[in-house]
Amino acid sequence: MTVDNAPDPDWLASARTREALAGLDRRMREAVAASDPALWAMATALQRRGGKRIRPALLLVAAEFGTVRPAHLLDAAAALELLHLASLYHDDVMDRAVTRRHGPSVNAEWGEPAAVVAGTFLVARAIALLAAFDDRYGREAAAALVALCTGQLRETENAFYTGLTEAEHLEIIAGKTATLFELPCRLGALLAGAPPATVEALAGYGHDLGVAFQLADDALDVRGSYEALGKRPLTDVREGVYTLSVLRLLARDTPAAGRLRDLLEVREPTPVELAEVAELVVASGAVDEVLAEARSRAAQAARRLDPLPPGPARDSLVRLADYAVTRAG
Amino acid sequence: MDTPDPPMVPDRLDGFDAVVVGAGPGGAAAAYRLATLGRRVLLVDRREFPRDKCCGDGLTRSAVRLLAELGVLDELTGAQRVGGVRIRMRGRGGRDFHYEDPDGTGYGIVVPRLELDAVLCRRAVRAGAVLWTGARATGLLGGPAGVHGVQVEYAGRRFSLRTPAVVAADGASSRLAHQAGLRSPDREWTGFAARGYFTHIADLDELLEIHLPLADVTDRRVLPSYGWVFPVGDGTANVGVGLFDPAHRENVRLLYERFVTDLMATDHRFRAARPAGPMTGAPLRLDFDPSRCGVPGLLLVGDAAGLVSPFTGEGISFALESGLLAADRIDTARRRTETGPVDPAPYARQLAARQSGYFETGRHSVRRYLLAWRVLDATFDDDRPLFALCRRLALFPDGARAGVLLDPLPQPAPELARDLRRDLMAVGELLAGCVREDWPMFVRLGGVDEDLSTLSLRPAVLLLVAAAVGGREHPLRHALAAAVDLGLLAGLAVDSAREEPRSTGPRPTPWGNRFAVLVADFLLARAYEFAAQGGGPVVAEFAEALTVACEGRAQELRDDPSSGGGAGGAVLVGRAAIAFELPCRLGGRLGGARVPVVNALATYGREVGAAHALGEQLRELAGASRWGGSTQPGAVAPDDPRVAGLLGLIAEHAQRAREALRIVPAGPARELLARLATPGLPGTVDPDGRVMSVT
Repeated sequence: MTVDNAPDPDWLASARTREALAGLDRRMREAVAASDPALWAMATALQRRGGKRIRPALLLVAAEFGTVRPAHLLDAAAALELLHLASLYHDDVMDRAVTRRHGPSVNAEWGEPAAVVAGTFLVARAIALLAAFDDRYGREAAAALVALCTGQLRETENAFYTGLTEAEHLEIIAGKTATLFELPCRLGALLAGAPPATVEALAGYGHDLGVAFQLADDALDVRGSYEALGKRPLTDVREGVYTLSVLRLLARDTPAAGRLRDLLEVREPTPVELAEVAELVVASGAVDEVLAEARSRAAQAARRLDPLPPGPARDSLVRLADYAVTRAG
Repeated sequence: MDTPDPPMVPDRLDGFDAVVVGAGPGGAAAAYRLATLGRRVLLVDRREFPRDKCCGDGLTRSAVRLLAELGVLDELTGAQRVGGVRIRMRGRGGRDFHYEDPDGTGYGIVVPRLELDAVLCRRAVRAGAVLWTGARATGLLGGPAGVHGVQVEYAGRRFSLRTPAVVAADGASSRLAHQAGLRSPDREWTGFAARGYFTHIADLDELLEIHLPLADVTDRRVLPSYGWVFPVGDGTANVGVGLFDPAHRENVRLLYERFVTDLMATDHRFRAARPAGPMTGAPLRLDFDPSRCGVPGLLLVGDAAGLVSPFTGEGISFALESGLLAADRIDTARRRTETGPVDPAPYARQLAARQSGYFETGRHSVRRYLLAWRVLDATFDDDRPLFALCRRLALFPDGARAGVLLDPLPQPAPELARDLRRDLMAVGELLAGCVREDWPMFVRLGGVDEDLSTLSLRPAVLLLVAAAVGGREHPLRHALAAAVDLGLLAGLAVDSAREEPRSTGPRPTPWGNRFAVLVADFLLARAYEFAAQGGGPVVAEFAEALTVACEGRAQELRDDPSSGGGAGGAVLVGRAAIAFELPCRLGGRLGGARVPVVNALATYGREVGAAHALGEQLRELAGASRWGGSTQPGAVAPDDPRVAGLLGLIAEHAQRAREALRIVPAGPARELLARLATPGLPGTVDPDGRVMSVT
């Protein structure tokens, strides 16, 4: 599951970035203009339903720490949002998800093959946008995409595997989620000519932020409800993706762990069985532990910004880190 | 059998260039090759020959070719020929894969190890190797830092044999590898096999029959396991199971018994079958790791090096090949008068390059294979390109060549052919490097065909030939050739996604789609990486080609796929974009051709791509899809009007492609491009390149 929740733009204290973001949707729509009207409809389907635009905002905010404001900065921001959207299209095919952002998923509406093509089309358009920048950024983006895909591969190959270690799980999260938080921070800072130490601080922030978001999301998957998530709870567990709280309980030598293992071995668990899974994991305290872990990651992310100059840009990032975990309670 | 009797102890015990421990296929091959190269070699084995050994006895085409190289094929009088592999998937029936047989070498054999090992051993002795049977290697001289020889107990005496090279061919539970610290610490990598012989079986086909995957006794869990039925001849079969699940290794006997019981109960061929002799078991190791196949003075071969296919359990071809490679390495070291223990590093590199298509490099766990098993299981009936390709690569690797992707390439002019091979080797290295760790299965696709004698038409080839038009050898040509090859493969993966049933009840995990998306995204990211080496303008063209491909594919999905009347313009342009037009354009530019020539090459690529796309449609219509198994239903009659329509369109596009070449400077590159204009079709083509008929 990739982090993608309901909008909450309150964290963005920077008026400059807020203004710039106003033009983002138009830029994205232009970028995906297709000769084929149906492809266009598919390619803009999720975009039209909103979303937090966290990645483009991160890029623009990170760019505020630099010395120059390059032209076409919004193109890079749009490219990153397109890459994120593409990953949602493809995730939903891999998980046969039927809803996304409180509407039908692209695969549910147009079919699985079309959703794969539409997602790939978004990647193509994102790459086209990035091609206009210096060669170095293309290489950064390509390396990030490889890391993203590798993380997803690891996640998939470990599906339904109850022996996954915490370290392995965190490595997977780093690849599949943190990458797309780190990249906008890095690119924004680089494009704006920020000094190397600033680039690294922002990239580190992005990484930790991504991990915090994912851990909080994972806890929500166990504890959350349909209203809060826009999807059915325990989606991850049903797809065999065991999140950190589940893995933590599994690693214990307790009757609850044994019972959980039994439940997970059932091929197609019933709603009652899934509810028991959630109950066991919540009762074990593992969800609270993971939330604490998420909070500590978010705090670490914020601390990385300490050396950076204060102002609305830094405030925004600190608030975002806080938001990443507070929404999960 | 030529076992020396009485035991012969040579006068000089310290003069051996190598001591080979274990006289199975790997050890015997190593000893034979060393002896023929004029090296003094001692081959020791703790058993007397002939002796039985737990094995499936199935030898693939690659193994047969190696046996021919060793000169023993004619001596294997008890060998049963097999023409390919039959995969029987749990609950889904079977599919046959036949070896292509253009030169009469397209066959495998089944031969009992009792006979095979004795014949190989005799061959080594005839070539000049000294053989000690009933001899135990008790330990290495030296250790992980350097091995100086081996201790052997033989004929009641104990010998300390000093030698620059010890070859450990002592099997899956290799003691020598263990002593040298070369065993994988991860027990997860071990599997187990069990087999027995059965007689009185009716109607056995001449195929290596593999049953995938088997379930545990409760039938709830599908295990990473397989069963086999290999015909030995005269109604006798070698029947067995392999299991790659460390948590269930004690269950291999149960699994075997269940497999046999099921065969007896449900398979009419086994109605009168009787067991002949007991079941025997053996461990399997699949932890091949280039960094763990030797230390100075010690080279591991075959099972000792963990060289077993995780999908079919096949190991003899790898044992023979590694034995020969190890021998060559030792000979080279001795010829160069390298002093001290032989350095195994070049051998390890060669093994890594050749074998990484089948084996992991030890970093990742057996869980990667579980994913592959799940995908194979979920997509067994699915002939979409990605699944067909992976099925072949995993289950029938020596029948799968890069050529399966597109057509074979007509023989280019000698100089061009030489340059192409050289460049394609470099491209192959790049491709292997970027998929080796995560998708080792694909390594073989990037390589030049096994014996370098044939080349296939791939995007990389088009790019290199187009580059040869201008003649400039641009340093980026290999990276960009890799990018377009990866682009084609990614496109195949995108095309392989399928609709899922929309039932309200439990839906199975969509392993096929998961796999298609993972592969598509991964290969695309790698392609992007290579394209990015070319800088912004190249990336922009790459992105544009990908865009056009997606637009075409989107339209194709809306069109009625069964119309068969030839697809519309956007679809054909999309089909050509990445695999044909982009490589021609990029190649033209890299080679330094003038702008009008580059444009002409791009036009050529677009037209050829269209012709090839239509050719694929025709193949499907004719029931001769590249991706299907050996039998494909639904072929239309040759006089079907759709056939004539497609043939006409193909000829038109091919003609336009040739016309585009007019302004391209004459030379071997243009000449080859002109010959590529007409796609290879399952039928006959007249001298002008017009397709006459389709079979």
